Amino acid sequence: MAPIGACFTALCLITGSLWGKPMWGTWWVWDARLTSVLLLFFLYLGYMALANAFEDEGRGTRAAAILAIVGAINLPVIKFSVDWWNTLHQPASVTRLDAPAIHPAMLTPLLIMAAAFLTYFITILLWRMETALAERRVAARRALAEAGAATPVMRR
Amino acid sequence: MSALLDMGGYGAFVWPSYALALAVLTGLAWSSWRARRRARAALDAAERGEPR
Repeated sequence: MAPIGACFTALCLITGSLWGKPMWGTWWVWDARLTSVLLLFFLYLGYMALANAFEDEGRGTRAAAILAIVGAINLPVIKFSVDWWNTLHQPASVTRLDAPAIHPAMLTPLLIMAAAFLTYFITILLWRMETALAERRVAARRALAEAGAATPVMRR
Repeated sequence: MSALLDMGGYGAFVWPSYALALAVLTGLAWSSWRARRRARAALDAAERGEPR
């Protein structure tokens, strides 16, 4: 799941930068929203590094899970960063109490693309879960075979 | 056609975005798909290896 998030966040940062150059006149500023999204990207990288840093896979995933819980604090910070710190990034334009501030000509493709990215995410997530499950079953079989070789009476 | 490529003067920003998104999303999908195929094959082999 983390690699998908890291890819999405990297795309968001880079394409956002490509949009920012002609629209804001700059590739990057240390604006609250931009900085908190960059932090999200590093959290994903840290999560992946931590999950694979241990010889024992269980320890790695447990340590990474703690990082994920702590890192989740960043999510409301990202969401409300545009309201809390009035820096370059514009305030929310879709999720507002009144009607969205985006013209339908842009809102409709935006929502279609959001749905497309969501279905892409679900598809890739299911593939990766299937992979992880198959790998675990192979590992469990191997552990069972080793235990069976040590104590021949043990049977499934 | 050239008007489409030009994107109202923003072509140099729009098309790299598309290209990058396409590259990253296909790359991720491809590597996930390959890992899944490999894991399934390993599981198949393990299950065939010890019929009980």
